[in-house]
Amino acid sequence: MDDQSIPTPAPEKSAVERAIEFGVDVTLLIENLRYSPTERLRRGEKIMKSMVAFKREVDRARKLQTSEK
Amino acid sequence: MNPTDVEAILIHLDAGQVEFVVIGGVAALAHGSARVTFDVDVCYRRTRENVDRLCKTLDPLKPNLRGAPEGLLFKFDVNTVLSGLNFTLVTDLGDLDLLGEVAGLGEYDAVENAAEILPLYGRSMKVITIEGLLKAKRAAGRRKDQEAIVELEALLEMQQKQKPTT
Repeated sequence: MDDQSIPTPAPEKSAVERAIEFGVDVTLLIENLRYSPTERLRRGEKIMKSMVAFKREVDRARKLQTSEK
Repeated sequence: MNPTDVEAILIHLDAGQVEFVVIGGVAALAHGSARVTFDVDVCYRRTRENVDRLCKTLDPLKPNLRGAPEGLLFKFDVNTVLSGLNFTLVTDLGDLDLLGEVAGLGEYDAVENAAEILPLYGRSMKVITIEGLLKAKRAAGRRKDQEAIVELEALLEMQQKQKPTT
């Protein structure tokens, strides 16, 4: 029997590989793991606060745009 | 919309000696997730003593039901909490979700068993493990959790690789 005719099962993908395929930016996870849990929360909170501030700014600009029309 | 002060809420609950486990997005963030969350989710123990502590601790933060119609009377007290189970609240420190039980895990004791103690803000707080988060998210079966599940699985694998082998 020809060995080459036996299909070799593809090696199972690691969770990290699956995440990359899914579109998860694994570099962010690697970066986060360098910090302590408290630092991770503080960094997350900082991002959240800047996103809220950004949304507020967008809302303000939209309102201004509407009132100028 | 005011941003939620995660640090202040958790320290406030801990200082009030409330028995709780940090769950949800904040727990994921503490484990290394890169997904931003806008509220704090905790599972609380539903004994009268703990619910009493919870109500007294949250009272100064003026808890109210999030998204409730204006003028709706809501009194956050022991009877209200014991008659309900899960509460989505808005407080002076931001959004806080209180869960009496978690899908896939169960009530407080089961959630506590799926938690680990993490050093947070100079204190020791109970935070659900990545494995616990995965159980809860798989049980919830929500489409929006699919990316979170894949991310948590990757984090778990990365953390396991980081652990020194004996």
